[in-house]
Amino acid sequence: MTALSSFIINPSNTLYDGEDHDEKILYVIRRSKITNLSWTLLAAIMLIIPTIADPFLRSLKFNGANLVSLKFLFIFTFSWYLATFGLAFFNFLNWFFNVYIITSKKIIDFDFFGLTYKNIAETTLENVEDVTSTISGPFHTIFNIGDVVIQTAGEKREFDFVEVDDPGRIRDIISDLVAAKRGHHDHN
Amino acid sequence: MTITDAILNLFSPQGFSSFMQMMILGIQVIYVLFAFMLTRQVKIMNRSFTTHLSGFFMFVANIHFLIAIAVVLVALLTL
Repeated sequence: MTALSSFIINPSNTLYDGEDHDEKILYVIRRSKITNLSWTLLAAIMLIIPTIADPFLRSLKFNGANLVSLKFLFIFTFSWYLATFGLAFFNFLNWFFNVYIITSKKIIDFDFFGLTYKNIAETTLENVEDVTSTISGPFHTIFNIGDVVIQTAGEKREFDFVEVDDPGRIRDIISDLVAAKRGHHDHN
Repeated sequence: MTITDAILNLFSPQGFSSFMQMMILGIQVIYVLFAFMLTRQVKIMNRSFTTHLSGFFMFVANIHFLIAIAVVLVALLTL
């Protein structure tokens, strides 16, 4: 499914708050899908826990009577699964909406953390001064994941595309767009 | 009942059971607040960055919030 990709070219049915009518979204970039591995594993473990804990809780007895009632166990188990879903949904949303958008005019960085933090920064392509890509560490090297740092002349001096797939390609795309915007048309 | 009696009662099967029920109810109420905040966050996220999945995310967040409320109500009625 294209909408769930970490690198989308010319996305359809996609808008951002503040988009100009003569502006076109060229690229939507997210963190690499592999960065979701930790919370996906946690959710998978949480899904398994009730099947292990349930027989144990049922076996707890005091003077021959069950210490934990079946009604309590049912509500506890249901709440646990709901919380597991909530955790997965929350983390998925954080991945999905923390996007970097490259348009025909601007670069926009959307940051959502937790439930209460929202930060949106943008710069025009003309303001981009320098683009650097970095891959560090064995995990990132194996999966070709890294950071792209964009130095700008604007108020926000630096834009970081964190843990994106193929950072070298993204650096090249931004450099080409900036060069084209400045009229150099030197794509190679 | 004095505080000492209440603490000692925790170590009886009924006291332990009541304590656990109060604990889970408290956690569920906090979870409802989390689910509500999540619906607000999804609304803000959708407004900032709109895709064809925006409606689906809002629907899931609302259903999640309603189920969280339903679980608290069921717990209040049955426990």
